[in-house]
Amino acid sequence: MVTARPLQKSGPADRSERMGRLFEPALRTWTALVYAFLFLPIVLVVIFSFNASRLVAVWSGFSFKWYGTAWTDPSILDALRVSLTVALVNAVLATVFGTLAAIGMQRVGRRTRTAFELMVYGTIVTPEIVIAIASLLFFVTINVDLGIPTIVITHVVYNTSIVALIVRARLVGMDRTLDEAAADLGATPLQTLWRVTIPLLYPAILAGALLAFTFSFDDFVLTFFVSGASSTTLPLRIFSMLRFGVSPVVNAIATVMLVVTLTCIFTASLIVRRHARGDAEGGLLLAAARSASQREVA
Amino acid sequence: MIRRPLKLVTAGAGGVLLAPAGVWYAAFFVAPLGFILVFSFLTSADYGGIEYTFNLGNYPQLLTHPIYLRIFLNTMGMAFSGTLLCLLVGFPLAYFLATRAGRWKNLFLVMLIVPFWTSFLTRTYAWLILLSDNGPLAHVLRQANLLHGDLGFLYTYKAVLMGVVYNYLPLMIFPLYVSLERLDKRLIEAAKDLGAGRLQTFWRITVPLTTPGILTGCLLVFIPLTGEYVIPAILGGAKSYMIGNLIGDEFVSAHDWAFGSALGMAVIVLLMFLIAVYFRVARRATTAEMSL
Amino acid sequence: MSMSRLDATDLSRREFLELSALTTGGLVLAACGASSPGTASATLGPIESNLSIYNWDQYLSPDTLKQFQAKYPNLKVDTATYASNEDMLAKIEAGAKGYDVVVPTGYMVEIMIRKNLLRTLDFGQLPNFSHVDSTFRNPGYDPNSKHSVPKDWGTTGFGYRTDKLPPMKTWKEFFNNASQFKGKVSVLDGATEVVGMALKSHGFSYNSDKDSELSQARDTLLKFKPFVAKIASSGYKEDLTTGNLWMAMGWNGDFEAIQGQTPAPPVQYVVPSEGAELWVDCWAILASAPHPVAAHTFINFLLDPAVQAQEIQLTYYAQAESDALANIPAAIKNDPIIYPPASVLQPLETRKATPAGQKSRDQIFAEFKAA
Repeated sequence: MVTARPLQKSGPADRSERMGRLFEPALRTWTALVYAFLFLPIVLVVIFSFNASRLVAVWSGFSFKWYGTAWTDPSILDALRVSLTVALVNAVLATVFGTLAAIGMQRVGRRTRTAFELMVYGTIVTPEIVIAIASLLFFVTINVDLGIPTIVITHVVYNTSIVALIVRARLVGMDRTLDEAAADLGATPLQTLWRVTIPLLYPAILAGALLAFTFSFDDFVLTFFVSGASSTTLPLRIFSMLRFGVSPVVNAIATVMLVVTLTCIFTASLIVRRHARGDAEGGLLLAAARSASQREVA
Repeated sequence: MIRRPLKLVTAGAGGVLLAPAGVWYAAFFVAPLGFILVFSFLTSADYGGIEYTFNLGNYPQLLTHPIYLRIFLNTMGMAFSGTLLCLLVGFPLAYFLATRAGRWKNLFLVMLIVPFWTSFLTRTYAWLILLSDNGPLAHVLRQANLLHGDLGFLYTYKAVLMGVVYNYLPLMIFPLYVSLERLDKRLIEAAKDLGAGRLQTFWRITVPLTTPGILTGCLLVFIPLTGEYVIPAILGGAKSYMIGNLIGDEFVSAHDWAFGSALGMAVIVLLMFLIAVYFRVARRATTAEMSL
Repeated sequence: MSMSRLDATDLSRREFLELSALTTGGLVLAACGASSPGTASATLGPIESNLSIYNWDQYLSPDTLKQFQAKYPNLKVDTATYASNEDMLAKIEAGAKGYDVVVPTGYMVEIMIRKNLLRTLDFGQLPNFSHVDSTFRNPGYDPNSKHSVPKDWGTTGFGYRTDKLPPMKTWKEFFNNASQFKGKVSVLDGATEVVGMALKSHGFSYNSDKDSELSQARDTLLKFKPFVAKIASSGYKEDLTTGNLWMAMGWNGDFEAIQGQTPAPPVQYVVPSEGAELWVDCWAILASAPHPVAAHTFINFLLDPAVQAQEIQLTYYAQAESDALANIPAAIKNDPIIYPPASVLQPLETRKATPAGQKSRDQIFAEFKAA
């Protein structure tokens, strides 16, 4: 129980105070350690992508050659092409579906909204492996050939929910009087949507689109089960290369992917910063990070 | 507060906006789940495929063979330990971010997610290099005379837990951070004024008030962990065979689609149960918090 | 038919017959295979513009692919890989339709034929089939080679680090002495291989379907499990090299590849004396193949002895063409790990489990994995 007692800044500290003084440095050290833990593998991957030696863990000089190897390997380039196609189509579909759904969810009755929320959270919460096998059986039974379309279809399910959540987070914090003013001025619902609501939501939509793109680009489990001929994506390719241990080529591909995604994200955050209040930005970041880690690990 | 409905935008318009996503969910999420429900009551053909003969045997097989129950228990154990570790590792960090990071807060938050923008497979495999018996870590430790012989960390249960913490940590930190940030600083001030030490304040004020964040973080980590597929396969070697791996194997190598479907349904039911428990506990926690 | 490979590996006629019995339904004259019945070439049109190859990881030399591309520049070749026969069957059965060429092992050829997943080959388009040794022309898994041609063959055994472990020769030692390599041993990710080797350690048939024998194998495996570090069909090559593993169950070519490295780690491959699996991997064309002409063209290209000689230098697995031996380095063709002597071949078995036997193997294996 907390007892009323004057604060002692100096003088003989009791046990709890002594530990209290250790609290600050301990907290800092812990934070530093956790960040080191998070970055160690990434830094390692980047460093060893420039290693001249074929052997991982033995440094033998700086070299760009693995980047060259990756860039001239047709199977890697094909995989890159497939991945970009899948991620792009997925991002477009998921962004349209997710944005409309987020707006729509605010304009329906409570029961419909709850049902829809169940779908949105359901798709995110259900383990990827279960969705993967369910989709596989579904496609087999209705006799659809596995390939790029089936990968896109499966990715869009999840990414629609991600976009919907992000856009919705922005909608909730948004001033609705503009919508209403537009309506009062005689704009049709479609005009209001297109000329007022969507421009206001633009930063969130963009962030959602980028996330949808990235998740799809990096997805492994879903893709592994629903891919078919001529639809080997980059993660599938990487996985089959990694079965034989980490190679410098894989490190090079991963480094390129890192640079590309980071560029995307920083561009997005710049746009968001210019268009949104700091508050919304923070919320966006949270939503992005949350869904990012969720997806990445699932 | 009840939002005033827009004058010109009717509920019908909302329905139209929901339609594309709704149709997609119905066709490619609900229908596939319906399929595995149906398949879980059918019979597997030899070496894959399905025979449309009604079969009630898949669920009893799951319950009567102790091995499947053991895999479920192992998975729950792994998910529980992984969640607890994430909480222990993540709480101090979230606390730092919410109370000490100051104007660097956003940078710190971004730094937290940057590692997650590399390919998931690569960053998990990066641990394979790091932890290898001839890897950089073993090398450094040997140089420092801290290690003799082998590291012996790779392909163990510990390695899986480490991979789990590595990959799931942000899921735990973000809800914790949100609830710590929302924490009413005046309560902490009050405790200080009353002479409570930092630790005392931490245990008696901060932790109880962030219970909702803790619960959300635990849920966010625990749920996907129950279906984890890749981390045990890469880092755990032979030591961690989880439900996710079993489901995958039923389709990929054992070709028992009906039983695999039953396993998938079992996981869904289990998760629904856990989420229901979460809402129960969360509600009680919120009530407790309000009475504080 | 040239007998040079058999000469090179010093097989007596009796021993040669034994190998034949293992890999085939019996000896068939060379001419017989060449004129095997197949779809008339008239029904196959001109070569298509695409070809999709579905193969094991690292099982086709990039040089071979480049040469093939150079020869057919208008043909776009797409490759995808899988980690096991089961993996591939799962995909094909799940309706993945665009693939043309697959590489099933003998037993899987049989399963796929039964499921009507393979196309009858048109030997008019495979003139290079004449180079295939008669030993491989009428295999038990595919009578008259109607649906498959041999790619290469090999054995499943174990390999260990000689600097860490004393010499071992049997499956009994592999399973019972595991305390010596606790946390340092891996097995293949295949129910048949793992359960089969445990059966072998008791002296039972690799293909036994007897419950009593399977249950003894199960007990052996469960006792063995605490020592196992990894269950994987690839990567053990690298792990043995780095020392993450000291002992691994695997395929002969992989261990051969380890010894081909510089510096070569001290790894010894063993075909255990109780016997093990002898397998033949095959080229086959899927019934659903959208580009059958290109697929035949590709397989015919692969059957060229010069190409075979090149492939063996990547995979280190024995070829089924004696004509290729002339171009194969002596170090490879005289290597007893790649071309084992008859005494080693004699106790080997090919895989042939029934659906019921497969079911019990899968269950034991799941139990093994979960233990």
